[in-house]
Amino acid sequence: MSNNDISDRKQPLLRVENLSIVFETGQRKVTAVDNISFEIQEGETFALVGESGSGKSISALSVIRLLPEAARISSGSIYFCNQDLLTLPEREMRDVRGSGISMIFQEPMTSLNPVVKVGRQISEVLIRHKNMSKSQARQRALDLLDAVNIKNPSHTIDTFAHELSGGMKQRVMIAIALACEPKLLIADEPTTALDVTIQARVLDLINELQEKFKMAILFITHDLAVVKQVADHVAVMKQGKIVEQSSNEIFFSSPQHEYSWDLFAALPAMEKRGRPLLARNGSLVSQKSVSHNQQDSLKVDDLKVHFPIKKGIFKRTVGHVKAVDGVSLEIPPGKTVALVGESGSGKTTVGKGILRLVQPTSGEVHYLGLPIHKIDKQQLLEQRTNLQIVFQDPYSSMNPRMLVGDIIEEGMKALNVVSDSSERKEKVLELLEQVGLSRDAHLRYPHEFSGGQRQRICIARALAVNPKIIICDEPTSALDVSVQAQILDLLNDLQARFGISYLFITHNMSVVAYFADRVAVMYQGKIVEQGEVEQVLKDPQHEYTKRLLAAVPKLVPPERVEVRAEL
Amino acid sequence: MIAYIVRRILYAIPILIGVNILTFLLFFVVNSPDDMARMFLGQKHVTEEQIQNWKTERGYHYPLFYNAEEKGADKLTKTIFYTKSIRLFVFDFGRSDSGRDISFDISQRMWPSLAIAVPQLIIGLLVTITLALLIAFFRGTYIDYWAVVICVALMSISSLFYIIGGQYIMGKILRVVPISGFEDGVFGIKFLILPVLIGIIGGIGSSTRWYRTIFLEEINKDYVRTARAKGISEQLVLFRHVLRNALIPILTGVVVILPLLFMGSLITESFFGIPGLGSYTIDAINRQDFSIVRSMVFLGAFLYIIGLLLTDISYTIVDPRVRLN
Amino acid sequence: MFGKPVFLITDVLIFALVFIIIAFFVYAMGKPHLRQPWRQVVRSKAGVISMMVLLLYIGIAILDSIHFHPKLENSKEGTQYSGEIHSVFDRMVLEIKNSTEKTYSAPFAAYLFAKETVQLEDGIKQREYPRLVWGGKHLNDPATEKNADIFNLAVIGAIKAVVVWFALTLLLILILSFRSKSTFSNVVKSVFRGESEIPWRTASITLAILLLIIFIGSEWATKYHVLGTDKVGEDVLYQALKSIRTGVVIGTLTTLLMLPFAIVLGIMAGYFRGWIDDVIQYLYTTLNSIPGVLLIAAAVLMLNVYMGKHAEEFASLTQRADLRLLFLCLILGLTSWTGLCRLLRAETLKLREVDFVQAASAFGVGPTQTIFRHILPNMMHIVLITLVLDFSGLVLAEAVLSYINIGVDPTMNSWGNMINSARLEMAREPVVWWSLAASLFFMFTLVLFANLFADVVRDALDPRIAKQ
Repeated sequence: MSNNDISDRKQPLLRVENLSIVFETGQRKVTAVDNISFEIQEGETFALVGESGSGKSISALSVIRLLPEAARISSGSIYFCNQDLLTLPEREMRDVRGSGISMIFQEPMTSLNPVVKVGRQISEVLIRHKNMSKSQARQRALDLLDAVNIKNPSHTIDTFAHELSGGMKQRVMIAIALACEPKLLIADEPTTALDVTIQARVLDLINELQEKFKMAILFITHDLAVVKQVADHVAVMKQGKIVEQSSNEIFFSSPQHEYSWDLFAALPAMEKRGRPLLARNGSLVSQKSVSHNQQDSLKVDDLKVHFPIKKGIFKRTVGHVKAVDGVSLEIPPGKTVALVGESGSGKTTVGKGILRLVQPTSGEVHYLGLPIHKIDKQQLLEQRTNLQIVFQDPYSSMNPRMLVGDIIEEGMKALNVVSDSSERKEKVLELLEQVGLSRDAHLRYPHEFSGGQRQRICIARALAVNPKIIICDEPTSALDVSVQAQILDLLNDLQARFGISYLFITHNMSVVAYFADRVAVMYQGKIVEQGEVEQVLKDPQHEYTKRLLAAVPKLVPPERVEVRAEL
Repeated sequence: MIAYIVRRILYAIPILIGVNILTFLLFFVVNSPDDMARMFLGQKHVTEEQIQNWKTERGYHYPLFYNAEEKGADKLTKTIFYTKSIRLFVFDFGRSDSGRDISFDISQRMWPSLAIAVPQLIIGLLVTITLALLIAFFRGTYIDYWAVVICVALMSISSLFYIIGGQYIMGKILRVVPISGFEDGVFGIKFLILPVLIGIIGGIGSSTRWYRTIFLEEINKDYVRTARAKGISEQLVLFRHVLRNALIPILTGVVVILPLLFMGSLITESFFGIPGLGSYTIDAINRQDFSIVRSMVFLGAFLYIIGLLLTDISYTIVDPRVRLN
Repeated sequence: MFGKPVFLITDVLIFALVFIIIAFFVYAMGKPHLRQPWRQVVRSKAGVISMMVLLLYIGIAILDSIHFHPKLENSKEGTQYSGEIHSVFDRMVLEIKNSTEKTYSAPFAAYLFAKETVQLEDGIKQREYPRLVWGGKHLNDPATEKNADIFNLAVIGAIKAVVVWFALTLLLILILSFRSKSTFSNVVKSVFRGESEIPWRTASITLAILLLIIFIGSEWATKYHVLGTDKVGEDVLYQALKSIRTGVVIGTLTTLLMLPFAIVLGIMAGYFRGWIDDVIQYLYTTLNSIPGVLLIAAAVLMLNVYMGKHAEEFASLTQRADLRLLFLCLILGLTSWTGLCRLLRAETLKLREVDFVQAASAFGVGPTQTIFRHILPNMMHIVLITLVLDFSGLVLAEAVLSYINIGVDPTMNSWGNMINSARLEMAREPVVWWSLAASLFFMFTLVLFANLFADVVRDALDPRIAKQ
């Protein structure tokens, strides 16, 4: 077709032209990808960025023709090495998969076959494409495991996937993908499920191998900071369309499209402290109510939560998992204390231990002169109005069988905060407005709302009992950045208005930098360092804090001049 | 591993005791031995003497728990609870109400039961897994749709129909194999063909559908997508990756019933005149022989518990993710 | 009035169940998340067809569950009632019920199946097939008239069916056009092109087929033994129809009776854990370890002894049979509750760790309220799926159990008893096949559509499947 037009230019490795993909479920058709085109040159990294549901993963899957059964390519073409992949017979397409183009996926936990040894899973692709014998393939698999920096390849090759950590599994996935030295690697959110320190190592590895094997990468992600670190070219997707394509330098200095600006604006950062992330949320009351009464602080002293390990014939307790092992904290009134740590560090258990949703093994929690850790049921019930919690997953934190109004009302009723029923109903409506939802939401069910809206309802539910402290357990981790910005703005606004303290549990350093007053860094059940945010982030003392901060990809969002002028 | 097995065995003991007490309550407390005697001898015109004789002949004349008339340990051992229930733990089943040695009967009759049940299980598994795999290969097509409909239709037919229909067609119309009877040795095979065949056909519908669901569940998992991304063919994906994972629930589901194969099938054996434990039980039910039924209840429970134990062990063997302790 | 009403225990339970189902649907209509799955059920063709067939079966079962002592001829002392127990359904098919012959006769036969010695007018004894007392007695010469007569009756039945079908369809379209506020012709178009959201066209065709079967069948049944007669000359069609109630009762009441145990124990084990969990797990593992058939056999043997001892306590054979049916449901329930209990325990264990339950405990909501507000409503789909999935298995189990004499009372009409008494006749030459075929066919139809319905319900209710 139009090969002549571009013959004078360098041939792109992959050329996607006017690709559209529809999902067909019964009678309904939903366009997931809407007429996108892009090119990837040999050896470069091309990042496809977008929020959830933007169609980025589906676009990537269409390149190796592994779309889910409900999805169908409705138009367009995909050229790889000048060959139209969409017209290839399945048999020839299989020759391309794993050899010309290979892919790594988001979830290393489920992407490996649980009952086949990892060595076999690597050698399988070599036997398929390189006609190797079993022993040759095994030898090569050992080399590959070594290449992806696995310490002890001769041991690892005979293990099963569940014996490896998340990072190790992703390395094995990379080894499988690179086994036949493909020209194009598709990486679909390869580090999203990993902790930030492991993400850094995996990204380094991918980078290193790209240079070694001279391959191109199609990198799918939602994380702009990662994009800045890895990509040569960037394409931003929104609702199935590519709204902007440019080089890394241009995109991160002066993005062209309004939506790109929105994405940058929504990113929390140290530099944005004290003002709302989204301009339309108005300016913050910058002066936080400062009424430092030592009595009003919540003090956690040497909190320990241990879970017994039972073994042997009679299930004797042979040891303990020390989920929380001596945590001391103070949450001053009207302030935000961030509790930062990677998965498994015990930070969620701290929150539940303070609320006695999990009974602490030892340690003390004091609030308003009361020993929360040992007060009786009645007193604890009274204190539950002061201490509330907001959970991570907006989908599981509300009973799907209850109306939103009833969900918000439940706490008020149980704790007898407002005893009159009509007053209670009025308060529900008021709360819905406070968290930025319409009043008629109370007659609807949770599933009718988006993730961000649900998180607002959860905040309203916690607010309903007039708490003084809210424990926010990763309230924005399951949300897109633009929605995260809205929730953070809302939390800031509520703090300014009501003087609520937050214990903000998170793994996201930039949220901490933007949002928290104090920060405590947790590692293996212990707090290794705590202090004022600026001090800890700029001058970390503990080895682990340093490692953690070094691993976070750096991104200073570009800011519009005119926006600055307005402020 | 050994600690685990020991714990499981220890755990089985209270369950066996529970079964034992339950059957004791059911057989001796809900109704007294006098009632059974009257039932056995016919409701009317039974003299007290006849009842006492019937009871003494079968050892039902002792008191239930405590024999005040005896001395020493006999106070506890010369009771119905000891002779009829406790003795079960050492597999002393005693004599049937018609006077036969139950343990001997069981040892004789389990072999014909196995001769039917084992080939039926193995061939049936092979056939249904193959069919399910084929259907999974054609998933989403009309073949899949109609295969499922046929499976549902097949499983909606009463097992009695398969047996009666099979006997009628094979025995009366085709006259290929004998429709009932049993014989030891190689020449006995001709008697086995029909019951085994009918057993397999009767189970095809539900098992195939069930295995298909397992296969489809596996096919939608992430690791299958990884396998496809390697460029291996769909057949190989099914055989090497999906089948291997799907076999874990299928095989461990089979293991639990393995010991119970000894018990045979009540209906099949009685229809085809197989002298196995199934027909033994059904005859006992029809003759209202309480001793045999009680023994079979205990034996069944014991074999089931063995099955559970074997299931747990087989999990650790076939599924690398399961490590005991 | 027909007579003095009698309430058998299973009747009461059946009506309680009907009441619960109606109450649930009224309640569900007000809740969109509960209504949604049922909408999906009625929108699927398989769902509509199987629902209509099942409703027919259940309708017969319900009619057959309204019992009374029929009124006898009035005497001077006032109204006298018979000791027999009849149902409304018996009254509807009274003619067939009373149309007993001497022994076997084939479907549509006018002559008995066995030769008898008859004395002719001239005193000569001869062995021949005598005419039936009831079947085809209006025919002068069956050999020449029978086929034409059967055909005529079919035509009459078909005409009636078409008239009724037309009236019902018209009514449906009128209601639809009234409710959707669109014109009559538009609704007709959308229904008959199969474009309506609920597959009304499928429903209408199914209705037509069912009406044809019912009307033609009942035309024939007034003149012939459509499915022949059995050994003692009872009409097989009547027996098969009467067996519907037995099957439906076993299929539904068993689950209904075991539900409270399964739900209460399952939730308690999962929610409170600790020693309560240990005890409940021990209980169901123990019960589960006894092979079901053997437990049922043992229990039924003991019931026989018990009933033999207390024979005088039962007012009538019907009541005795009914009690035995109820007991069979109980014992079947005892062997099947463990599965549901285990499922509910696992689900409760999962739910109690879910965030919204944690949020409730952060508000100090107590266990009772948590269970009723948060846990139970989120498990109802499992209970409903079990209810429909178990139904067909129980109907099949009844036949097998009755066949080995540990099922329903031998005097009760059931497919298992029919098969049991018919299977020996397979050895006869020529074969007496109709009793067996009728029971198997009636059972097959019920089980098949129950299975199809269960599939549709499970697809609609199971959140794991619904997501895909």
